This record gives sequence, C-alpha cells and structure tokens, in this order.
Amino acid sequence: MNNYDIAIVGGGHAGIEAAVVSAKLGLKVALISLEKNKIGLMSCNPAIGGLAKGQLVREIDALGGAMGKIIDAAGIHFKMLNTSKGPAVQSPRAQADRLLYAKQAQLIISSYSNIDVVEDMAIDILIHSGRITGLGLLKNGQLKTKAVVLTAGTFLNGIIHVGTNKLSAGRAGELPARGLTESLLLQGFQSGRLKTGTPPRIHRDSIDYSKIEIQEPDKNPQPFSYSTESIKREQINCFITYTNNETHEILREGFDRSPMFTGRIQGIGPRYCPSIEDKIDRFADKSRHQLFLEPEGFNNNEIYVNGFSTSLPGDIQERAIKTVPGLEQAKLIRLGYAVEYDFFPPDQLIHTLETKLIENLYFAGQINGTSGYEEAAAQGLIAGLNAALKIKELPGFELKRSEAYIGVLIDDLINKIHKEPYRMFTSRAEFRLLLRQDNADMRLMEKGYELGLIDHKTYQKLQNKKNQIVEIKEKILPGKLSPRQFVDAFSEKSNAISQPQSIKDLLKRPELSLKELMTAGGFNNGFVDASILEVEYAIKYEGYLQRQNLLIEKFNKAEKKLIPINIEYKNIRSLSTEAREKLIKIRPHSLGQASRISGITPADLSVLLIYLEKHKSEIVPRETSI
Amino acid sequence: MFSEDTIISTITPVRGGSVCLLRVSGKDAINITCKYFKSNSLSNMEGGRFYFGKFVDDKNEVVDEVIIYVFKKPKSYTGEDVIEISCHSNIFILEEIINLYLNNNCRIAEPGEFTKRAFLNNKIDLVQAEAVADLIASKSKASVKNSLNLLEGKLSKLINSLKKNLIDVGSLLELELDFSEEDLEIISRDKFFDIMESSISIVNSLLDSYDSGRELQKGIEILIAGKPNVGKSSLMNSLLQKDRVIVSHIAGTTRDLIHEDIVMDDTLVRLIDTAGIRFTSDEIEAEGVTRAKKFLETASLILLMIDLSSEIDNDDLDILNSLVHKKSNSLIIVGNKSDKEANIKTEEYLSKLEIDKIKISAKEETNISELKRLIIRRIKRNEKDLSEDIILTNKRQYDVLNRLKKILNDNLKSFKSNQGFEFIAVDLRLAIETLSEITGEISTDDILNNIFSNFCIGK
Repeated sequence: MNNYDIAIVGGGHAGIEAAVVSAKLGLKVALISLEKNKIGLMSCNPAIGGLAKGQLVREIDALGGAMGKIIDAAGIHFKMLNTSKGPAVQSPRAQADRLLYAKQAQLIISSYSNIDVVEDMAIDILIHSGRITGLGLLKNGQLKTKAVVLTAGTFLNGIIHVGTNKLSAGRAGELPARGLTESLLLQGFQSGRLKTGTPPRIHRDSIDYSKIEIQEPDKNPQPFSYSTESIKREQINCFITYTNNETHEILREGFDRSPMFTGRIQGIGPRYCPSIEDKIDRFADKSRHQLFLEPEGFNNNEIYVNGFSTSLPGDIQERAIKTVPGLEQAKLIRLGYAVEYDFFPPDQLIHTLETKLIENLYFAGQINGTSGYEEAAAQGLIAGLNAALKIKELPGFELKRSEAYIGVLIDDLINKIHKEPYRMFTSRAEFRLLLRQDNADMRLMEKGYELGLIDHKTYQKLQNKKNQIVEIKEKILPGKLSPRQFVDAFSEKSNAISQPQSIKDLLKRPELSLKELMTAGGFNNGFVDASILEVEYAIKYEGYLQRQNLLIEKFNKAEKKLIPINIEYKNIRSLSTEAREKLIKIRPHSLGQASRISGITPADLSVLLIYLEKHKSEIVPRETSI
Repeated sequence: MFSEDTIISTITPVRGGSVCLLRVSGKDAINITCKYFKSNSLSNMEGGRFYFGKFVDDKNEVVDEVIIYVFKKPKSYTGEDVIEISCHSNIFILEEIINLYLNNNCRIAEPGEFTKRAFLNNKIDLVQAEAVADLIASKSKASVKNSLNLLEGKLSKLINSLKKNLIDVGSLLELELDFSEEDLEIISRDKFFDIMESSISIVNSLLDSYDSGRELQKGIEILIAGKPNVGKSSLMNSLLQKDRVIVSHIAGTTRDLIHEDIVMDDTLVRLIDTAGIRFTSDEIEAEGVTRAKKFLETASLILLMIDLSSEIDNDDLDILNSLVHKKSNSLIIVGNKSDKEANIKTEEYLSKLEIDKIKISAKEETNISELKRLIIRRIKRNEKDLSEDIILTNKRQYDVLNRLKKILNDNLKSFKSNQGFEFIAVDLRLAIETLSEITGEISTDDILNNIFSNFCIGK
C-alpha cells in the first residue's frame, strides 16, 4: 500500500491535473493533501478563465485535463469575454459555486481507483543517487514512489498578514507546510518569497442591490470542455460598484499599520493584481476603482469583493468598505489578507518541469512563482504527464510557443527572471492569432488522443469538425451567390453585386460573415459553428496569418539549432560573464531558447553560434525528446 | 541565424582610388553574376580565373567594364562561391552594380560577415575566430559611436523615440486586449492615428534625408548639363582653370561622364561634365546620354547650360522639362556665349522662368567668378539645411527604414479599416522588431512593463 508510481504533494488545481493525467496513463498515484475535503478548493476568487486564462483551460481540456469539466459542472455565471473583438482575443470565463467546484473535483479524483488520497503533510524528500525515491510524511512515515510532483501552492512556510497581525498558515484557517522547503534547500535548490492577497468576503444579505450595477451572464453559456454538450445549471448575476475618495482616505489611515508599507512582507506581489492600498498609493489621481461583487455559490452567503484585495488592519477594512455605494451596511464574514510563501525560481526546471537537480522530481503551480488557478493547472498537467511518461520510459511531452499558451507559459517560466508572480496574458503569446480558445482542439487534441488522454467520443467530435472544415473549404466556398440572393439578404449592410460571386470572394468584405453567406446561399446544412468559424478566420485574415506564419518559421528555425548537452560554456571566452552564468544555469537546448533567456544579448548569441558551428564535429548531439 | 543567402559589399574604400573591389559570396554569387556579366571569353566560369567583360543591367545596358575574379567553393575567402568584381571607383557604378545584385535575392553584407562566414566554413582557426567575434561586437559599438559623433546623438534619440512611440501604441493595443474587463479610461483611436502618423512622418523625413546624407559622405556633386556643343566642357575648364576636358566644336565629343574634384570655399565639390543630352544614333554615346539623364535626378546642383546665341530648341526644352520638378535651389541656368549676339526668343523665354540665371562666356571667361560665388552660396545654403535635420548616411539603416515605412503604412491602413487590435498588433510587432534591427532588441516584456508602469490594472 505504501508503494506508488507517482506521489503528488498538494490537492489544488495543479495537483488535481497531475493526479488525473497520471491515473489516466494507468499509474498508481498517491495524492497527498493536508485535508481530504479541501481538495479543489478555490482559495482566492471563485472564477475560472478570463482573458488568456480561458485559452489555457481549453488547452488543458484538449489534452484530457479536468479543469474544464469541473467548471462546466460548477459554473453559475458564464461569460464569453471580448465578444466585440476577434476570435483570437475572446476568452471564456465563469464564476463557480465554490462548494460545487471542490465537490466536483473530489468526485473526479475518487472516480479513479488508482488514485489514493493520503491525508498527511510531506516534510522531507528521499533521494538516492540523484533520483527521488520517496517522501517523508509527518504522520505515515515513509512513502515510496518513483516520481514526485510538488504542487504545494502557497503552503510552504506560508504566513498570513492582516494589519500588524501575522500567523503561520497556508490559507485562511489552514496550517502551513513546513520542512519541505528546508529539505529542498539542503539539496541545493534556491527559494524565494512571493506574496499574494485576497479581499474580504461580505454577507450577501447585507448588500443594498438597488445601488449597484448588475452584470448578467451570457444567455447562451459556452462550455469550457470539448466533451460538455451544454451548460444546464441555472445562471445567476454578478454586480459592480466603485470605491470613492472617502474610501481611499480611510484606507490611507491604515498605511502605518500595513504589512506591505511597513516592510513586514518581504515577498513581491503581482503588479497586475495589486491590493487596493497599492492601487490608491500608486495611482493617487484616480478617484475611484471598480469592484466586482461575485457570489461564491447558490447556497453560499459569501460575496467575494473582487478588486478589494487588502492586508490592512480589520477595523480599516470594515470602515472603508462601508463607504462603497451599496455596501453601507456590509457585514464582513472574513477579512482580506496577504499571504507570503516560498517559491522556487523556475529556472531550476527543464521544459518537462522536472528539476535539473533531482531526477523524477517535478514542480508545478504556485511554487514555480505563478499566480492563477489556470496557470497552476496547466503546469500540473504537464508535470504529471511527463512524470508518468518518464516512468513508462516514453519520450517527454513539450509544447512549443507557437502551439499553445501552455508552451508560452512553461517556456517563459524556465527562461525568464521573474520578480513577481507570473500571470498569463494574451500579449505574452507572440503567435496569439493562432492560439485561439476555439481551436485548442485543432491544435492539441490529436496529441492528447495519441497519449491516451482523450476519450473516443470527444475525439470523434474533433474528426467531425475537421471533416466539416474540409467540406466547407472545398464545396461551400466556391459556391456562388446570385445578385438577387445577395440583395435579399444583405441590402441593408453591403453594396449590391452585379454578377454572381463566390462565397470566398464575398467573405473578404468585413461586414459579412461566413455563416450569413452560407444561409443566404442556402448552403447551411448541419455545419457546426466551430467549423464555420475556423474557415472564416482563415479566409478573412489570410494576410495577417501569413505574416504571423513568417514569424513562426523564423522562430522554428532557431528552435531547430540544437545546443549539445556537453557544451562547455566556460571555454567560450568571448561570451560576457553574465551570459556565461545564465547559459550554465539554464542550459538551453536550442539557440532559440537561448535567445529568450533574460540577459542574453544578440552579440552573445552570435558568439555562441560561431562556437557551435566551429565545434560541430567535436560535440555529442543532444537527444531530442520531442 | 546564418542562412546560406548571398551577400555583397565593397571591400575596398569607395573613395580615393580609380578602381574598387566588390565581393559577392554565397550560393547564388555565380548565377547572378552570369546574368549581368557579358564576356567573349566566358563560356563556363572556372574557379581561380579572372575574366574581362562588360557588366550590363536588366535592359542590357552597359554599367561598366569590369574584371571578374571567380573563386569556387571551398577555395575562397569565405569558403563559399565568391565573385569579386573590379570596377571603376564611381559611386554611381557601384550602386548600380550592387542594386542589380540586391534585386536578385542578394543582400548587403553585415560588418564582418565575410569573415564570419570564413570562420563558419573552417577557413580560419579558433584564435582568429574568437578575435573575429570580439571584432564583430566591437565593430557595431564603434559604428554606433561613430554615428553618435557624426550626428551628435540625434539619430539614436530619434530612433529611440520612434521606438518608444510604437511601444506606446503597442501597449495601448495590448491594454485594450488584455484588460478590457477592467475599469480603464477609454483609449481614443485619434491617439493611435496621431502616433502612427507622426511615426510615419519621422520615417519619411529620415528616408528623405538619405540623399543629403549621401552628399555628406561622397561630397557635393555639381552636374554640368545641356545639349551638345553648348559649352559644357569649356565651362568645366574655366571652373577648373586647366585644360582637362577635350574641347571641340563637333557635337558629341564628350562621350562619357568626366569628373574633377575641386575645393570651392573649403568644400569638396565634384564637377561632372555630362555627354550632351540629345537623341543620337551612336550607341556608345546613347549610353552616356542615358546615364547623364539619370544623374540629373541625383545631383546636388545642376548647372543647366543654354546657348544664348541660338534659338532655344526641343533639346533644351526636353532637359528643362525634366528638371522643373527639382527643388529650385538645386538648379542654376547658365546662359553661355554671352560674347555673341543674343537670340531674342531665347532671352525672352528665359526671362519668364523663375529660376536663378546667370550669363557667362565660358570661352572668354567672363562672369566665371560671379558664377562661382553663386555656386558657393548654393552649397552653403544646402549645408545649412543639412545641419538642422538629422541625416541618414547608412545604406543598411536606409533599407531597414524603407521596410519599416511599408509596415507602418499597412498598419495605418488596418487602423483605418477598423481591423481588430490583435491583427494590428502583429504588424506593430513586426514594425518594432524591424526598428530594433537598428538599435537592439525588444521583447514582449517591454510592452507589459510599459502597461504596468502607466495603468492601474487589477481587479
């Protein structure tokens, strides 16, 4: 019973994906969690998706991950963002019922007979000749395992701050995990401190709804998972209100007791998700800040005050929040707090998320310095998958920056210096036009299916979509509309035509969509929207996509220039000292990767390239795992 | 990074000699050369040999008589197929030849690139190579410093501000795309237009300055133009004060461009005497005529000579008409043969033109010093213009900016047609990347950092 293929430390969003993917590959999995019933808990805001993050969830799903299915079952407010913009920047987002979400996650975990949930705390790692052999557990002693995926979130030496009070905790009301960081430091790992925060929760019956704006969910909610047919759950509203100068004055009174401003918190917080005190300090001229009031569930009294993350003293939080329209009588159920935690700078990992120092040890999620459930889940999936593949002696799995947001995420993590928690943005993806939320299946599902992570029915859906795309391209696009048909359908919005014209040509008019054209020509029989969109996109934005493809070709060329594993950077005298140190630390596997390392200059790259070409015959080529 | 494309560059100084050497290296070096090099002795280009012949352009018009050295790989400096062309050291000839190669998928060699290739192809050893690597780095620094000194840092500043403008636009686009849920001030499209339009106008003015920049590099060129036998060679001799040009009264004596460098009031000036511009049946002369016409377009200053003693004719008008679009400060009409009786019609015609004019007699050398003063005033005026602007002198920078111009114009078009920001962002990145070829690198981090420092983000 005490002998596993893979042990996963932590049952958060990364841990769940790591457990599910390795279980799907038939391995014996131990999921170690401090409390069984906290698995899948959303510790910060009760929402999944959002810009760029929604793309991540779709990609996770296309590779057989769990997150999309869980939110489809637990979502209570679905919204497709940026619908007024192009497909490449639209993203799904959904508020979740926090309890339902955790329950659904636990249900999925328990559906795999080869996952054992072990309620315990990992305090030590066991190593034999550079390879992981097991874990030391606080209650159950030693656990033998071939691989470990560490997904400890904010629990490693977590400290919670509210005003001048601080206590050791991984999350409100939960113990931190200790010992593990120290045992990793002993092995030579480097760690750092980061900080994140969460806002207060208020009672939903204490809100004056007449004074706040209503934000309605989509009428026709779009599921995250390619296997979900439709969203059946009832949908509820969210709300918007604003802070004002009075709020800001009160918050300022608490600055001398702020753990941030008084230097009690050493860790660096994210600039894109700042605390309210940070916002009013940095943007002093802004007279108001937007707040989203997000219900945490159908039967949950808590309302999450999104935008009001704070670690100011409790009395200040309470007084300040009562100055906000609609919240005058607000009852605080829980105070906002900041949490400081250990992370391991991810330049200690390779693309599979295995550590460079210890074989078969993988890191995923917030301990790699990321923020966000989706970023964590994506890493959990990749780490778990690679751990499983390695045990099965199969080649590792990596995604390129041109293939997926997941590829961008991991590549950025292991190559760049991160001074704040890393969050995904669409602008981080240089090939954004191709990485759409709606084509994650086209990009990744074949890979998922080949790995055995996608069920047959879902795969069949993809084949159907692909067939339809071919059919539309070959049969529908050359089809012509007569001037009569055209005028009947589009007299209001498009200039008439004098000769019959093909749908393909007419599609170049920005005001016309493929679906409308197909309907006008009587061609629309049984095609799904996803297939139509795919074709429309390729035709309408041909020029831009071509230019994007040029950039990708350039990118791929550099990726194919492999750097041998036995290269001795210290022998290359012309490299700058900084570049040499970075290259020795990161050990890039291609010239392309080297070019993305923080601090490597174009001059360094030329020197490196010259050295490589010169020593072509003397160095052992690297085995490629892709 | 190192592609096997074909590169070309001069390998001897362009100025200060009668012959200049060009090197072409890469897989198409021989193919392209065969297309333009005509020689009787050339049936099959053999390595290690040289060939004499004519270099012609796409219209089969002779550019220059040259000697071509053929080096087949690996027996060459770079280890690739190499052609070296020994041609006359004239900037026009050089540019013409280089442009013919550039039109055939060849590109200008980066500094040190021949040596870099030599190393990559095992032609030189490691010690040399590391020295080269250092050299490559130091060379670019030196050239940056060079430009800084030359331009008092103005160009770098301008390029950086251009880049900053584009990063700002990029940030606004990304902000709109990545943070549209947030409560942000709405960004006006007018602001995009303003920034894009001002960027394009900066690029345009830089490109425009390239001609003046070339002047700075190669000196000021004064072209003496006019129909045959109007007295161009005599004028040149008067200006030079020596018998340099063969003068005869038979039209068409000066069959080619003849040039002389003189110093006028501390400025180096190149006087160029053209073949008379007129229709001719003589093939060799026709070539000179074509070239003279072309140089009318590029010269800093043109002295257009008209014979005051005979009636103005179609040949005169042809030249005049082809010059009216020139900036007025680059043209002076020189009425010659003031020693003879003036033709009334010609005088009348000229008096109507709003162009600076002077009457001289090249033969009698009357009014020559007045003409010199006029020329000097013009040169000074042009120089003053130059000192107020930022001047582009580097061909590579010019090429990069030319590409940038096209990308920016596409970008503006996309804006105007209300294209989605994510599409515009692709071209904008392309633009920033292109600009970075001049100044260094940028990453997506630049854009995000810019966003974070300027906007309040975060729910």
